[in-house]
Amino acid sequence: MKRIISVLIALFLVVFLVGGMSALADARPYVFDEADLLSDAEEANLTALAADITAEYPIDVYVVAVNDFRDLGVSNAYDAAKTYYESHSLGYGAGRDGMLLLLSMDDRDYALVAKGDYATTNLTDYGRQKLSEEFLDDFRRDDWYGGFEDYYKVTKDYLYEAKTNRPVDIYPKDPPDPKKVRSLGAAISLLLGYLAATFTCAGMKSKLRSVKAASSANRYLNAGSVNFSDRSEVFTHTTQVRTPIPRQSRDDGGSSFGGGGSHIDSDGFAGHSGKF
Amino acid sequence: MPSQITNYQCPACNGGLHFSSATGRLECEYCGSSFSVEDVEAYYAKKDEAAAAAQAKAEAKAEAQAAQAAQAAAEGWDISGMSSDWGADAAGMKAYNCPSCGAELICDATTAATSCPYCGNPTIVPGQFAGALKPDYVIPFKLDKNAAVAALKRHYKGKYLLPKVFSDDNHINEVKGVYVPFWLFTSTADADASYLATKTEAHREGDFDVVTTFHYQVHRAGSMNFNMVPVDGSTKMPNDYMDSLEPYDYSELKPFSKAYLPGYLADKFDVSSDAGAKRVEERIRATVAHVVDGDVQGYASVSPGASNVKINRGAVHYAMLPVWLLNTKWEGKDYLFAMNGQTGKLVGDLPVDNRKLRLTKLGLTLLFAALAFVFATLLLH
Repeated sequence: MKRIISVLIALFLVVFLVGGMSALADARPYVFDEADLLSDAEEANLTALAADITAEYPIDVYVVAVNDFRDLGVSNAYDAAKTYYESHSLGYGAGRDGMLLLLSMDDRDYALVAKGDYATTNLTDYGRQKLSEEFLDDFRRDDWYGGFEDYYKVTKDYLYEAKTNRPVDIYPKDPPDPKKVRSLGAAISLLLGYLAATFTCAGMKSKLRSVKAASSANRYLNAGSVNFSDRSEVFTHTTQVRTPIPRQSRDDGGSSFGGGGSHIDSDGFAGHSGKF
Repeated sequence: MPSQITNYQCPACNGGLHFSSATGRLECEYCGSSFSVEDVEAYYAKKDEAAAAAQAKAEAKAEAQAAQAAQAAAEGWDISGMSSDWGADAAGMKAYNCPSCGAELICDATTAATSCPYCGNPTIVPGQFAGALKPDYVIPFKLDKNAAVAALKRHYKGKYLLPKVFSDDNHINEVKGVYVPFWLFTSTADADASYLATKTEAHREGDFDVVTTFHYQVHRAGSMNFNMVPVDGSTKMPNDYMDSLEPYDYSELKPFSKAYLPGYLADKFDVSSDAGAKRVEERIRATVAHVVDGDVQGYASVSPGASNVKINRGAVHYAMLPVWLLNTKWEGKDYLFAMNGQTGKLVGDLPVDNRKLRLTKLGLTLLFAALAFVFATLLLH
């Protein structure tokens, strides 16, 4: 019996150590929580999600949370994301394919950048914008883990879609069926024709009516007899309505979003930034 | 040429009846109808009864009108200028009542009154002239019957949806010149109105669009004068028709004289000045509101608040204004047209050719639809 237990313990140790070494071998850093938003368990879960993506696709997907992007010596979140990516030599393989989501907590800025052919081809400008919508609502509720989890899950979905079908992007719509267009045009023309005819006929009918009761005595008002003895106004109060100006999806440098593929800047990055 | 209303006239066509010694019956020399003497006497007895009833009704109405006039005076309208004293003119005047519609008509002794100008009843009966209020003013007829017929023909022109049969075959049954009684009200009106008004200013502050609204309480007070606002004093004349005939040129108002009456009938008022004043006051209030509201300008928004219009009732005058009435019948329906006997303005609603309307609507629908389709096609290519 003792022997059996010893064998089982030895077996367990072998499995644990081999597995642990393997996990350590895959434990590349994907989550950089410098703002301390996540618990250790949450970091581990997110790292596992990132590792899953890298296991299936030739891309690394990162999360960075900092207190103030200015600490990186740049003037905006977008440049901070690029600087972080470069200074930590991030990215998968020789092309350094990857995507990085940076949160800067002090001013609630975020930036999402992608680098490398694989990353920018399969995660397009439009795809990244849609992806942002998935996590921004969580961040606006201060649900950091929820937002990062959505980020990883939706990224994986988008990569799957790109692999099995085509990247999430704006595609020109199929031209409408000319027959349907003609039928719709004819129906709309008929409706417009009916309205115009009804209006014209109403005008013709009104010519047959010339009897109408008078409702005013304007023509019997003596010219020049109108005399105002008081024309005053008293200011009572002021009311003010302040409407936030809708923020641009990009408020600083970097590539611009124009739809269709990715627009790469001179540093080889594509992305956007904004507030959450 | 005066007609003798009480002479035996044909109940069918109003022509003269004569006794035929051959048949022993009264025969009409125009339409050939014949009646027994007993029937005609019975008919005229009935007519006399109707005349008596109409007379009694007219007297009762006169009493009611006197009471209403007293009430109007109590409410402030100045009717002191009105009088029932016709002086020497009374000798040359006569009155008729219509047993059918109740119209009370006056005319000078030389005018033939053969039928009621309102309902067409040929058996109007003599009434009592005494007690009728003498008009203050009259605007004499400037346009004659031929002008009225010509105006009606012009009225038909340019009306595409007017049934062609109506304009082609239309025979005007009757054209009658009537002096319609009008009350002319002169007054001043004081207005006092408050409004809530706003002005706005917009600018940008950082990440915000800021719209500032300044609120004001605006006040207007003032007065204005109205001169001789008319309202017809006859229930027989539709108010909307008489309103539509306006305006009359008051520079041609003359002091009333029976010298303007020969050849025309004049309706006695049966709407008191008090009853007419209600319509006039509504019209005055609408104009006062329009003028005062229109003075509040330069604001982004204006909401009316409390307002008060005080009408200072002035003089009321009784005037006879000239109207040509033209009646016609088409497809069993009566059509009335009225022309201002001074200015020639003619009003009257016309029938619609519904078949033509439907076809026109269909044709225009297809035409406009085709144009829209071609235009859209060209635009898209």
